Amino acid sequence: MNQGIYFDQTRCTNCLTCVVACKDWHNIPAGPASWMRVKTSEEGRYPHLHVSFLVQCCYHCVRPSCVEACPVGAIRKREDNGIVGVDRDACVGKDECGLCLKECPYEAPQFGAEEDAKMQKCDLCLDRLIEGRKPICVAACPMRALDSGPMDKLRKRYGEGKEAEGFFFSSKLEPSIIFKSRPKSSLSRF
Amino acid sequence: MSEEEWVQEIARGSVIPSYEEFKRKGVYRIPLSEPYVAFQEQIADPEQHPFLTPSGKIEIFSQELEAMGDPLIPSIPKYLEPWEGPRDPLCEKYPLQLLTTHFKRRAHSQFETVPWLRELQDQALLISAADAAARGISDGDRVKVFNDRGEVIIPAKVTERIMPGVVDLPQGAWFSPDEKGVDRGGCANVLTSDRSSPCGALVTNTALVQVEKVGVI
Repeated sequence: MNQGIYFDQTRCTNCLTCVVACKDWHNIPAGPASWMRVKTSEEGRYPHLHVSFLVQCCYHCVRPSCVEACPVGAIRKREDNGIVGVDRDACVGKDECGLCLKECPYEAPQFGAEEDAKMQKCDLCLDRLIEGRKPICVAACPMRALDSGPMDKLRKRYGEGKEAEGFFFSSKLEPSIIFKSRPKSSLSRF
Repeated sequence: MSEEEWVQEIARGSVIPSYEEFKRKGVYRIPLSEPYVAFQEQIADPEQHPFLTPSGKIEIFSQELEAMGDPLIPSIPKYLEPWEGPRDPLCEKYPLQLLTTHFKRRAHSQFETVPWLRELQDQALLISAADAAARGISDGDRVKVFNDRGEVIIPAKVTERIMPGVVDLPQGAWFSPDEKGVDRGGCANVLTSDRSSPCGALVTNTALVQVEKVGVI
């Protein structure tokens, strides 16, 4: 069953703990490569504002465009859990190729600052999943805004939410993410 | 000791009778025989339970403060016009109220040099879209923030999330002067006054500044 992510946009405060926890767990140095990012959307005029935050990692699409785009077959979607992973030894690199980055609408393929950087990306903490643990971003979130698991279980628990501020759901790719979005009526709260 | 054992140990030394039940329910309510009321003793029997004030009462007017004779320490609670506030004549020259809020990636000046944290947030001046437009400032532009005490050159973050007339330079960034002595690190102390309030409080949010766009420097 495809593993996926749940994100509660009403809870996220943009504290960025998930971003740092991810870099820490996966030993990713400071620099442009970040498997987890948080995007801020700001709408309205002071003092009537609507501000939302969106976690941006790999959404492990059902039909991932990166897998199709890769000319050397370095990106694969696992059959057992649907996690999209990359073989960095096989990857051609950003300077010569970079096709996966071009094809992914969610900027999931990440590259370091080094010359001819090989692609790296969120693997949903496969190492932790094997041990029966949640990904580090889920475990680290102090607002409990994140969850993960098989998509059928997530749907049962959280519903079918495909919309969130700052997010476009590609039905072609079918990203494995479920949202609880922040309604616009909360404008008056700010 | 594991994390779980630590939590058990803490629970043992608390009012919680059963750790297992507490863990299952996620909450423990302390049973009260009657509602808790603050200053219950003083209300019931004020003669026997005076407050630790000269009059033994809650003092709205303080004879002690009155005796000090300092207009900045009034004997009754009242509003005092702040120094370098919105009604200060200095506003003519420096019309923007400077705030120096706490930054999420630092604890004051600590952790400022941790690369993983540095890249999360840029040290920048938060300025409202209205104030930025009036000065020809776009998001990411380098701006000079200044008053009679000093100047800082730092990128601007243009946002609707701050009140027009107010700018915010998050406190705690390290002073990094260039060859001319102008701070490039975004250190708010360059702009704030070190005068303290009569009761000894820091008044670091009490500073007026002006902001202008700088060319390529």
